[in-house]
Amino acid sequence: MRPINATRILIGAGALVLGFLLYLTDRPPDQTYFLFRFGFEDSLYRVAPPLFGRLGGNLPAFLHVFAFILITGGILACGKKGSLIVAVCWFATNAAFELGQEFPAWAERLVPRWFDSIPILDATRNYFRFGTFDSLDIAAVAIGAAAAYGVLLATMERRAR
Amino acid sequence: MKTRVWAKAVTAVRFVALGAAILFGLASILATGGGGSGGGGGVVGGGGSSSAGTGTVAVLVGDALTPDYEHVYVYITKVSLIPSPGTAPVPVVIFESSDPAGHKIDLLAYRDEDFLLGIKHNVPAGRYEKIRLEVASVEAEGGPCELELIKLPSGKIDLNPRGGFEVRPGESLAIRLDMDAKKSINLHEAGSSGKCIFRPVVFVDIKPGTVFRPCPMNTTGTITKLLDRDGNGITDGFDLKVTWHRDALTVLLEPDAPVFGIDGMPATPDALLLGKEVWVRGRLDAEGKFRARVAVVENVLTIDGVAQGPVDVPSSTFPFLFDPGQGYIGQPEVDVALYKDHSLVFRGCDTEVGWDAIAQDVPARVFGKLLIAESELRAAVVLLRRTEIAGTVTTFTDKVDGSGRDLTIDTGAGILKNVFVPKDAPIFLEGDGQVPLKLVCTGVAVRVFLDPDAPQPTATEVKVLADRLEGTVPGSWTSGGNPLLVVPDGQTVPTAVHVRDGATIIDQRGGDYKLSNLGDITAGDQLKVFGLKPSPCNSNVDEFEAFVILVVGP
Repeated sequence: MRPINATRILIGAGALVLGFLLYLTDRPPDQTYFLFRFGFEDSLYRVAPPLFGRLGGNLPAFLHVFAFILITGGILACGKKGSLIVAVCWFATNAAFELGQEFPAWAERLVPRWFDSIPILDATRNYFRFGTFDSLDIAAVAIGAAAAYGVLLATMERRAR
Repeated sequence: MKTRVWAKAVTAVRFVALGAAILFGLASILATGGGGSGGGGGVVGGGGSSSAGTGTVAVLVGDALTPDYEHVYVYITKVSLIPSPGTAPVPVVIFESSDPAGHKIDLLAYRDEDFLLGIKHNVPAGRYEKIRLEVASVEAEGGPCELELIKLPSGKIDLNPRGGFEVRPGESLAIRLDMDAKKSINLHEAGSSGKCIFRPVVFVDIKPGTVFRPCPMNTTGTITKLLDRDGNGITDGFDLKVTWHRDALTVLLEPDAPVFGIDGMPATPDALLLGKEVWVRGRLDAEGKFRARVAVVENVLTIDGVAQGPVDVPSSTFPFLFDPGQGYIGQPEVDVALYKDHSLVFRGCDTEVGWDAIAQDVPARVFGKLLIAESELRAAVVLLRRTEIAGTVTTFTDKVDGSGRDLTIDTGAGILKNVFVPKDAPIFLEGDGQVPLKLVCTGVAVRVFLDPDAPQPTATEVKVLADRLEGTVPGSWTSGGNPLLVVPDGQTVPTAVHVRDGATIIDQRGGDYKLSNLGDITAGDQLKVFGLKPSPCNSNVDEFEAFVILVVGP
């Protein structure tokens, strides 16, 4: 088994940090679950101007799929084929959540009632009920997955002969 | 052997790390709403509870009379509902100003009618604990705080309606924030960094359905969608984009609602076009839709004045003298034009009356379009304002048969007027609760609204102006005792304060404004007490009668 690919994990973690920074500066804290829930009510929103401007709308969708493909690919240290599977899986997951916002009644039916009493999972129903589908988010996810796949290939470690 | 165990351990750690990464990845989609731009996303607007279904919530703002100020402008940035513990923790934003400086509201413009600040559909059903009001700044015109920087100790105020409130699936809820400007602006003469402090005193009134006050509301916006509910080809409603709120308001025209065109003349609903600005007057219904009684295309002026005579026939006009201080120069008197089957005349704000109710010296408010060149005001709506007598009670006499009380009121400059107050006439402390008639006696400042049909001055409603007492609770007061003792600022002798049953006590210290009880007050607390100063009619003649107590320090 190949050793863990630290480079990929670090790049993925860097993308997550960038995403976190975006939420701190560009998104209202009391309208974002994790900022509100974990006490970031006094974030930089309203204090500092939005750092990412118009990009801030869809950049998180890009960063999320990009980061988790790289982290997963780094842990598995997968090769070309494995990288493709990881990229496709994360793309499908993100796209499915986004599509659930387009068909909220259908998506909400899939959410078990017990989710409502568990932190984080309790946001699932509202995620579909109040989320707004955005085709640009799907595009951002696709671009993010493709970019991550490219980075996975570029950082693939060759087997020792 | 050792190598194999080590390899298995590494593999196990790797799979744990992989599982954690996948779980974290999935959780972060939910916790950030997927990160997308789809406003309101699962993250956003979420809030709510575990109960299925959604309701509609409207937020209205009103105010009590504040004679100290001409205008009190409050810049509101956001109003949101905070769910009760145990439900999903994200607040539901009902109103958010598109301008970071906040939406400007003149509190004193909403004494007789409420301002619709925001309405939101799809609010998750469930229990809510607080209403969070966010204010960017406050300005005052007139009064002691004019031209002063009014300080906001906290721009975020959590209002705690007693017991919380519930949004039920499929139902609407109206939340009325009665912002009492008089109690909210504190004057600190000795302060070194700004003399005026704004600590909002907000009475929250929550009712299912709609209406809190007899007066309908006016609102203006841009038509974004035309509605034809009965499919007869005639517009009978529209979606209205209001400037201060992102959610459109659905307006349904009442079956007989008149429509006025850009020129202020009667028109048909065809005049209501997409993209047009329109002014409407009406009420919210139980579904949160606005039932319009009248609609006018483009701007409408609101002008207060006094009718100088009855409606002339056949010109259908009446002379109208503007009240001073409304910014109109050289046009103090105009003819108000009424249009048959279109112009609406109300007494007070809600009772439709005939044109013959317009007579000399009747105060009125006209909503319409002013044609300066023709010295004509084309009226869509005329509200015949209530005639009132304002002043200080100098003498009173109870009727022998117990039917009420005769008051003699000094209206200023020694002019005395007599008025009869029936025992069932509603009497309110301005901005607060009801006052028994027996407390309306010598020395009390009142506004008495008269019955226009009564042969002699008879009250239909009385508003009592509150007295204020500011000071500190001394150590000599026994905790929880009634009367409460308060040493007025700058004095050493305490004043006894009778705290009435049901008095509102609000602890304003900190951002979380809590409703309190008398037992929560302790020695050393700084109080602002609103009510009636000692008088022969009070429960005890030498005690201040308290209706509202604010704990403001230390």
